[in-house]
Amino acid sequence: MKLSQQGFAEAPAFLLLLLLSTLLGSQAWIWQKRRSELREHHRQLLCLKKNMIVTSKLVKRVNVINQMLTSGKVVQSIALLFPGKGWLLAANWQRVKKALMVMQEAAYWDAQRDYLSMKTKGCRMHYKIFLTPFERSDAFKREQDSTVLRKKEESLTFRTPLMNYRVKWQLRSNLETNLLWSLQ
Amino acid sequence: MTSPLFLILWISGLTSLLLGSMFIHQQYTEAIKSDINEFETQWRQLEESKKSL
Repeated sequence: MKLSQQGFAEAPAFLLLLLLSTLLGSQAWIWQKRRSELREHHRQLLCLKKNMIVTSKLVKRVNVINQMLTSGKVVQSIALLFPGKGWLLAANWQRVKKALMVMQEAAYWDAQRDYLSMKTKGCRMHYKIFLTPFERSDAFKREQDSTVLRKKEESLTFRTPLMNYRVKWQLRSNLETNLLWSLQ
Repeated sequence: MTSPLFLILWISGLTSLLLGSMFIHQQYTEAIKSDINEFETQWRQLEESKKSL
């Protein structure tokens, strides 16, 4: 057999090897892509979980203080009926109330800081973060009786490379401390 | 007709590809298992912190 004929016979074998090498490369690439998608999916799920914890914690802190503010107001009204110590108690309540309101602000700031930190770490969060006093946020509003009303329900779409979630929470009143979460 | 040397090279090439494919499969399966374990650990930690709320 001449050299040229031999090369012609061996060409399909070279092509086959080349094809198999390409398949091997593709396999590695697909696995790499799958792995990075799975990692991102896990990361976003952890973000969702953290988000749920931060929101639950915030609402709990704000609403526990709401309960204190509401009961404090009742106590103040009763104390006003008793001149002397009762009036003194009622006057002190104003200071306590201010401190409680500051504590609500602090809870809000803590949560916003956590949300921001999550967002900077790559969590896909589709809502605004207000690094301002909460009166400027559209989710919070201080009522006439000094308690804070948090938006009563919120739903958000949460996307990961592998799945889409619809997350919803509800709050029955501004004195309720546990959020009802639903995940679809 | 292919030369015996080429036949040997071809068979060893195919074997290397097969072994390479198995190696890739095994490496990524291990890596993904370890990712899942890491995720589950972090998830459990978050569950614990949620319970302590």
